[in-house]
Amino acid sequence: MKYTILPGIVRTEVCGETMLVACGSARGKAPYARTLNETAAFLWKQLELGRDEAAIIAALTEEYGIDGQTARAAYSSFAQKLKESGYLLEE
Amino acid sequence: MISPLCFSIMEISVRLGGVPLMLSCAHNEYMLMYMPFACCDMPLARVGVSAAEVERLLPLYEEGSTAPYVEHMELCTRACDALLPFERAIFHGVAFIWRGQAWLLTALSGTGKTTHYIQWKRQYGSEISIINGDKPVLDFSDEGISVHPSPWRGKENMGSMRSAPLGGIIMLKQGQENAMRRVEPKEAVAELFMQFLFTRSTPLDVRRVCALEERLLQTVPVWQLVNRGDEASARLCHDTLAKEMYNA
Repeated sequence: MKYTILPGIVRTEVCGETMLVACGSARGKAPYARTLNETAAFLWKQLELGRDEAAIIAALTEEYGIDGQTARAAYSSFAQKLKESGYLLEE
Repeated sequence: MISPLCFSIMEISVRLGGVPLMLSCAHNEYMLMYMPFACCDMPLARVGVSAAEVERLLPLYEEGSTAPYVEHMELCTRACDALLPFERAIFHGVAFIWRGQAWLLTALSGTGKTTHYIQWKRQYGSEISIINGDKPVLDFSDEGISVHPSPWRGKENMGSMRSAPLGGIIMLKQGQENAMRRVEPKEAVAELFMQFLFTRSTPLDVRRVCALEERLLQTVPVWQLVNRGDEASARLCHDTLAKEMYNA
């Protein structure tokens, strides 16, 4: 499964917190703003790089030293939540 | 300062947080709100809302809202966009002066900001004075952050022409019990960001607001006040601020 970022979503940082903001054409399609925890921010940056699921899970495994199954579950949960809230589109 | 143009567009040059802006209005119902801010300085930016845009946005407003009201409200977010390059922003909250400093009560609409302010006014009326009841202007200068009035004064039309340096921010939440605590800047990031009243039209404006919010959170303390909207909640807020800020 490949996800893309809804056009108009801006990733930004305030006081070390990563935040997504719905800007321009994304207004009204995704929540105004939400923060991401460290792992979610890492995964979001992978999506920004245009990586597919396999590459993202591999990167997550390497970054956090976790097994593939755990990484897959974490990515799946992250992507599902952000898709449901409108930040991600399923290709 | 007010010049009728073709198609009955009126323009008024106003000073908001020290920055002169030209407001263009198709409706004159709210012109009296802008008059106290009128100035003769060369405007640094022009702000207006087209009739088509007002018509498009009208259904998004509360039932019964009129085109003049929508124009008035939309001018606010567009004025904020225009102020951002000058390190000013319009912020959603009640701003009042207490002990020489400005205090911001902020929350989602309908949470009880005005009710809380009224509770303060009832009990500490001689100690406080209003700056703006809904959408004050924040000025981020090298000397610090100051709070200024604006023509957008909320449903209760509370406001004055006073300004003061910002002392702190209180984020209100409704609850069954009154409780007040300091919050870490990280905890307040998303909630406070959403109180900056800009249009979010461009990524550049988003980054400008983030930069201002970072300064805000690094400069002033923030509290969360869970409250019942009663007299005791205002006493708790007053006494907490007095103790933590003034050792009183």
